[in-house]
Amino acid sequence: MTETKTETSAKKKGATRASRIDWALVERVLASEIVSRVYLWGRPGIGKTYCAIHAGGRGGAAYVCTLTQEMPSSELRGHWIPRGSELVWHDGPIVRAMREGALIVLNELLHGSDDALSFLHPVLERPETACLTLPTGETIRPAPGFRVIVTENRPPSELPSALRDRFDVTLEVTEPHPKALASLSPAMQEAARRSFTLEEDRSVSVRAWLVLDRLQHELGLENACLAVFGAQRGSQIFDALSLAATHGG
Amino acid sequence: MHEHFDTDLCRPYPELVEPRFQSKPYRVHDADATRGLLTRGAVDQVRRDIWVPLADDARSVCRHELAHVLWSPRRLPRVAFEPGVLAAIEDARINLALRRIGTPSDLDDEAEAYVAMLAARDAKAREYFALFQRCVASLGTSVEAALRAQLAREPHPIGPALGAWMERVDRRLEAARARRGAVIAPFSAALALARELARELRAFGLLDADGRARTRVLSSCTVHVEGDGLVERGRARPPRDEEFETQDEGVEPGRMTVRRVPLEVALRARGGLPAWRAGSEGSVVRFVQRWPVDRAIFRRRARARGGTLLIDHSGSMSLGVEDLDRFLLAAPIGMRVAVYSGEGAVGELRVVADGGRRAAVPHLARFGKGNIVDLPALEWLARQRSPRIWVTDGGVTGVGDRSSIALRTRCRSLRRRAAIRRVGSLEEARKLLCVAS
Ligand SMILES: Nc1ncnc2c1ncn2[C@@H]1O[C@H](COP(=O)(O)OP(=O)(O)OP(=O)(O)O)[C@@H](O)[C@H]1O
Ligand SMILES: [Mg+2]
Repeated sequence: MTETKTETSAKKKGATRASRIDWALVERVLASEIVSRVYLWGRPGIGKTYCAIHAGGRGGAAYVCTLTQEMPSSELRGHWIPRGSELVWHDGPIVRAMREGALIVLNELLHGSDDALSFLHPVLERPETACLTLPTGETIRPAPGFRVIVTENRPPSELPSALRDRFDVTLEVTEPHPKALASLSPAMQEAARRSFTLEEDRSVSVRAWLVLDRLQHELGLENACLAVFGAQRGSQIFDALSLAATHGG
Repeated sequence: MHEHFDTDLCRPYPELVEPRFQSKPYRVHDADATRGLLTRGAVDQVRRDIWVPLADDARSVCRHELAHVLWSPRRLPRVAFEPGVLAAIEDARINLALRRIGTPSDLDDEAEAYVAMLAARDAKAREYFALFQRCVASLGTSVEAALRAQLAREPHPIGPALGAWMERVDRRLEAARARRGAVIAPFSAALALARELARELRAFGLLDADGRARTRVLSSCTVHVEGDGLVERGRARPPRDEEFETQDEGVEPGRMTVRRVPLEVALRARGGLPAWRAGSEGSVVRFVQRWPVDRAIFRRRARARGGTLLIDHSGSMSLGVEDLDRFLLAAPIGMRVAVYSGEGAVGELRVVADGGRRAAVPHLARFGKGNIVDLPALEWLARQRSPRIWVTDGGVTGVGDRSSIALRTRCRSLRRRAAIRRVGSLEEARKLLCVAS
């Protein structure tokens, strides 16, 4: 902490800026035994869900749910189903993950209904205190290995504070996963790297580049651009890509 | 067929084109809405601004500006002669390359006729330097032929001289390109040519003894000049598009407080919309009597009628407390309703209904006469549950109840991002909610 305000060389600036969380760190955190409640957030299509399922599951089972406004908590917890003249209890994905000590990935938490969010409070509790009494009267505690990874586009500051407090770690990822980029052809890789940081009106997600890259072999680049991005934006992206391709030629 | 057209979708991507990527995005400005811009397109690679018409017919203008980003130096070098000479030749270099790669700058008939008209006007006013620029910059574009024909009709010796210069620029750039075996001539060729031509233009009287244009009437559709060439003489700096001018030093949105008032009154379910319904699957048994009938014994939450309604409560809306009260009586359960207004530099947003409860009448009084905090209020709305509806007469203001293009633009793009539906009155909002239910 010896830097003063007057030191403004580029190097100094770099050193004083907050460090970024890269994917390698995210994967290490997800692999850690200590961490079991993760809030992973960042722009759309950069590989959060993919990473949560692959790195967070540690090879075991993974349940994946995407929350919506319409989804009641009973869809996460479970419900009775009439079978013949009987009622049978049917576990929801969270309860199953708790029983099996599995991973549950919750996408778009902030879209969840109040009902679903309140249900998550006890679920996200530390393993020692997390327990849930089902309408069957049974009380379940999470089996060892149970973990919750939330993926979101919005910052944790938008969560109700009680919920926010329950996460062990909040990780913001700011760039597409290098493996997602690596599956693109070199020209598209470059375009993807350059375009995802643009302001929201113009930014293009890796997801779109992945489709474009595959579709161009079938339709040609121009038609693929039009199909993926629509006529106006597609024309702009096609023009930029084809001009960039002439560079050095 | 009438195609849906959105100006935000035709923004170009210079970042994908620049040879060395800089992470700071370009600011894209609508050239048609920028005052002081003498060309339909321009780019400033240093400040990272690009001006193109955000219109359906501007694809070749965009392509031309992108080509500058790809091939032109970040700033044109200082020269000891009229910079317009170099700029015109640089445009020719770009246009010839674009033609070579199969995407020539083709203007539509109307634009071509317009350029020809401007050229005729230059000739009539004996603005021969401007005519020179226009003609040279047109090389490689679809107006080239028309301008050549026009020069042929100009009096001796100026007409033939201009024609010969065009010819020379074309030939020399092509030769330099071919030597290099590339799609474009090197910039050094354009620079050498500019130096040479500047001398001849001076000898011909098109430039004065210092090598400067006597009058500068830069105005061709394809001329790109960096720095102060972009604007009318007399303005020292390139135009900062109004949007940014006002964003930097113009109207700021007011400071907004979100006030929680007690929601004392329970809303009753209305219009056949109970909060709960029976279902044959569920976790809470509520309607045992239905077991023999349809087995729908479980209590399930009726389809949540969530969503958020933001009401502009400024004077211009002339909404009385009674109007609001009446509206809230019929508000759907589960909808969050907020009102906002402001005064001077501050404003207040008040949540007046939420989760089946609403505020009592005394809390419905207006905070201030003005809007002031439209932007922060919309930011709040963007964070709320969808569907999001904004009831307003459309005026958007900041501190001092003043408006600016920048503020309007920010509100507009926020609205689009957060899918905020705008309606003009409570009556419209009510209709919308009825349809939705
Ligand atoms: N590690 C990876 N290896 C290969 N492909 C990947 C990887 N990560 C992501 N992808 C590709 O990128 C696409 C988008 O990733 P993903 O769905 O995880 O994004 P996300 O960040 O969860 O987006 P959103 O916020 O929109 O849900 C995936 O469909 C997949 O094809
Ligand atoms: Mg996802």
